[in-house]
Amino acid sequence: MDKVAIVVAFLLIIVGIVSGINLRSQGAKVASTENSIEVDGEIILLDDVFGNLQKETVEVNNVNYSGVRLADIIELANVSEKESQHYVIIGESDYQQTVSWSDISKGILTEEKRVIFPDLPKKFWVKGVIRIEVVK
Amino acid sequence: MNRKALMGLVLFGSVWALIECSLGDWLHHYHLSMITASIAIILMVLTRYLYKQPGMQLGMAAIAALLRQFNPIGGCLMCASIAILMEGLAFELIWLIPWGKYQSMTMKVSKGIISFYTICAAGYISTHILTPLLMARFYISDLISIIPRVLASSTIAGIIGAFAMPAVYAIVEYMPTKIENKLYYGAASALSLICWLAVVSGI
Repeated sequence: MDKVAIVVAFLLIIVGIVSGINLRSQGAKVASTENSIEVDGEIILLDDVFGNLQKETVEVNNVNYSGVRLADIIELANVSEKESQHYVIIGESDYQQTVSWSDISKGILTEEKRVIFPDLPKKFWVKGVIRIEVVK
Repeated sequence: MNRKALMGLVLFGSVWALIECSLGDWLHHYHLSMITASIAIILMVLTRYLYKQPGMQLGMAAIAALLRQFNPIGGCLMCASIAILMEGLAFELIWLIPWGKYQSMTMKVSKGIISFYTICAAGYISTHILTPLLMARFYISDLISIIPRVLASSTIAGIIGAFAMPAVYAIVEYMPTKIENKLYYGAASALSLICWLAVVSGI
């Protein structure tokens, strides 16, 4: 039992360290896409997004968040049949959350590249968004 | 479960809730929730040795998860409550293993790493399964995307466990085994009440 426990404990630590190194290397890769996000294959410059689109403020638990409507960003990418699609929002370290159009239509993207969904728990508020994929 | 253990369940469940609502919220901003989880596991280990009551730790988790809902501050209250409850459940399952027979230091350290790592990982993963199921829609691809993050961050808890488990064993040796009933119930009730007030008022 002693030996089994040592081996299992050692393996858990090794797996954790390797995962940590992997996450860090992914974080370094996304640094080059800092000023843009990819929406359904289209590269959209954030300067254009925040310079041209109208900003909106949403209030969640007495805190105000300001940003550009996600629906307007999706519009920029010319996504077809957008109401029937699902949207995979991918952040740094490949953290992702999938949401429906009804969530997208209420959500905003802040200048810190964080999505805010007033009706969803904070785990859906992906930080450092780098890509939005459209899936059926 | 005897009356003394039931009082201990309420007290330590309330202390756990207070830690989650105060220190936990603060640490969450720095992506250090694993430290909060580790403190909760230390509480569970300590109470398991003190009261020797299987099931008590799941009860503590239920109290902490319930109280978390009454705290006006914090992010996803549902996520936090699910994680707390699942940590309690994972603890009960892991402690079904007959660890007690093995008392060497190597075993204590290994037990610390395994239990802290797996309990934290279970809490983290279950939140990412149950929250979407209850409040939106669950996608397996979203769960897969967080696995490397879970494995990496649970390592912090595993390392804490390597030191905390032998420390808890040592502390229990020196703890008083008998406390006068009047003092025990009085102090436990007062401390629980303080914790509830602190949680509800948003400290």
